[in-house]
Amino acid sequence: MMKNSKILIRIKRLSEIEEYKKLGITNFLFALEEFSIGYETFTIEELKDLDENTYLLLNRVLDNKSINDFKIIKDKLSFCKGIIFEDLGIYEIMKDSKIPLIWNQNHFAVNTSSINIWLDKVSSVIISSELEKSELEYILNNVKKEVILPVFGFNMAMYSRRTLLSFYNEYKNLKNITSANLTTGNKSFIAYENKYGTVLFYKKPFNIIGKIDEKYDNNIKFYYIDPRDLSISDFEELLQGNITNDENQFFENKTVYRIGDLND
Amino acid sequence: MIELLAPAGDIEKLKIAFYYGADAVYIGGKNYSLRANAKNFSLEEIKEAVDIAHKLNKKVYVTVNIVFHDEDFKGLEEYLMKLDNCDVDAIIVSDISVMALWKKLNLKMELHVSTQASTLNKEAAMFYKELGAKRVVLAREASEKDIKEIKEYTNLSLEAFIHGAMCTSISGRCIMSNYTTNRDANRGGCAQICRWNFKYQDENGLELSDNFQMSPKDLNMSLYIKDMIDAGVNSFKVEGRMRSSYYIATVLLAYRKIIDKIMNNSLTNEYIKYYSKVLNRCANRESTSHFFKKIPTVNEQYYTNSREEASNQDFLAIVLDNKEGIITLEQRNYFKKGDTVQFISPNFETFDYIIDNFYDENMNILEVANHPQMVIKIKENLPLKKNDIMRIKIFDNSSIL
Repeated sequence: MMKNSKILIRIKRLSEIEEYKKLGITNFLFALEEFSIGYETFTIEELKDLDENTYLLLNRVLDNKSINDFKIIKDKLSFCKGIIFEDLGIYEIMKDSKIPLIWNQNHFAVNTSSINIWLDKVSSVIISSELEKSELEYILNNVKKEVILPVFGFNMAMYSRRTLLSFYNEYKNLKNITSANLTTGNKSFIAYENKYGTVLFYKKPFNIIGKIDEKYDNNIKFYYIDPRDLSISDFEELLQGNITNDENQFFENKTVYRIGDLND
Repeated sequence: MIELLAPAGDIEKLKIAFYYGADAVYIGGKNYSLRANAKNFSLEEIKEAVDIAHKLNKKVYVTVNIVFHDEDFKGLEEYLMKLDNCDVDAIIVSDISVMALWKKLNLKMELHVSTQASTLNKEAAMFYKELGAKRVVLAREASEKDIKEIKEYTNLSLEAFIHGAMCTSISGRCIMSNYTTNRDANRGGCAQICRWNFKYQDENGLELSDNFQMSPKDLNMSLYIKDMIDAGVNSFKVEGRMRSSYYIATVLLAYRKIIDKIMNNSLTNEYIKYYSKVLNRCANRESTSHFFKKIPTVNEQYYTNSREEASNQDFLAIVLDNKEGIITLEQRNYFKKGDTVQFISPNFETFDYIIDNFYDENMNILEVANHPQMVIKIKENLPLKKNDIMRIKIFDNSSIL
């Protein structure tokens, strides 16, 4: 049984924190303003005095200007318990700091070797949520340090530097919206845009709560949950196993990459 | 060092690429490469490719740029050692585990970091330099300013794309193919979902359009090669390991001539304009410079109901031989007596030619060439060599002669 004290939860509004703490959840992830995309973001000013186990998410791919901007603020981040980074430039800047670093290069944490190489460099790694169950268990069985396992959330399916919704709205003379649903066939994605680009999340959440053997618990630092639109009561239902609008496409089926393998 | 780097899907295309001016080619092996459904090269073919290249004082880079799952590592160590024994000049890699293996094995071939790693800033580039990388293939989103700053900070060899298709996504950050086709984009299975049409609804489910598109125009840097050189780019990379020989020849020739004109300080605006038109026609898609000078806008995207990509019929024939006043060609598309065509070659500027009498293999006179790969003979004294190309007359080039 996953202990609530080992849950790392992404925060959308500061007011949620007290509600989650009532459930025994004490580790909170905040997307940092200017360095994140696809999530509700927070400024350093909003976070620095929280007195919580505060983890920062920096999931943008950064150009030089943003890297230079990060160098300016890096000394103001000592309040946080860890930085979850996408761009390796963040690692390069912070590798000698006392703040624990967590590797989260989207779609890359899919093999044991790379994960262990990173575990030699950083405090922890977020395992990809695009792995089939046996692939995931193999990794959990062979990591050299505790890792973070996403157990509920929405996979980022695409990240573009282009503001795709604004472009299309402008071209078609539509009202300007910065979030939308995009559907092709029976697959739907939720698109979010900010000035740094556009991200698409798969519309249905993955949910592997209760589907990973407890024997791996010792190798798991946190179970990461991104509740997105879930209310607190829905979240409680989720922990009880009562949320079923999920789709574990990758957990249940290995992806292939040669057309000839599709029917195997 | 300035290098024109071409894709090569097979040995024949490799020869075409070198003939039309490539200084180096990048190729994929049968495994571990991001074009899993391309023909790709066996180890024997890789050795042959390297031998061909080195005799010409040119280079071969091999892509080992999938993002590995655990099961994919089988045979990798042996494969890397064999590539090294083949005297491959470099491997192009995105997964840190392959970089570590390259280091552990102490291989003599260089380590180049793939664009899949999305290197867009100087600190990320420095990270790879410290791992031993000699070169970084920059993210396609890198601006002129980014490139300059990365160069100044790292002094790494920098490779940048100059021509071809663009991902909508930052490379390596897309799994739409995984969701819609179960094919792993980061292991070579990309089904180009970003070129599909989508139903577009607002947050409340109100349908705004049934043909939302997110596909960018192609990349074409012909106007900015000089600026790229000045910014610090060393290797100018053409996309397209699955492209045709005609495409490879046309694109390589254009950029070879532009680079050479820059290097001998004789490039004119007319020359660039002419070759930009040729390049645009070649792929039947509009093209633009995307991120180099500014963040792309609405104008750098495609918004058509279909991609309007009729296959290019400009390629009429390729020269097989030219001996004793008889030019032997192999047909690629229909042509007939009286047509005005053009010959292209790395050895001369493109010239027009009106087809008069031509013959089959047995010197029987023909009126039309209407069978793919039929052998055609022309009695003429022209300065043509093997692999020169006859195409439809597409544009008048008298202004650049």
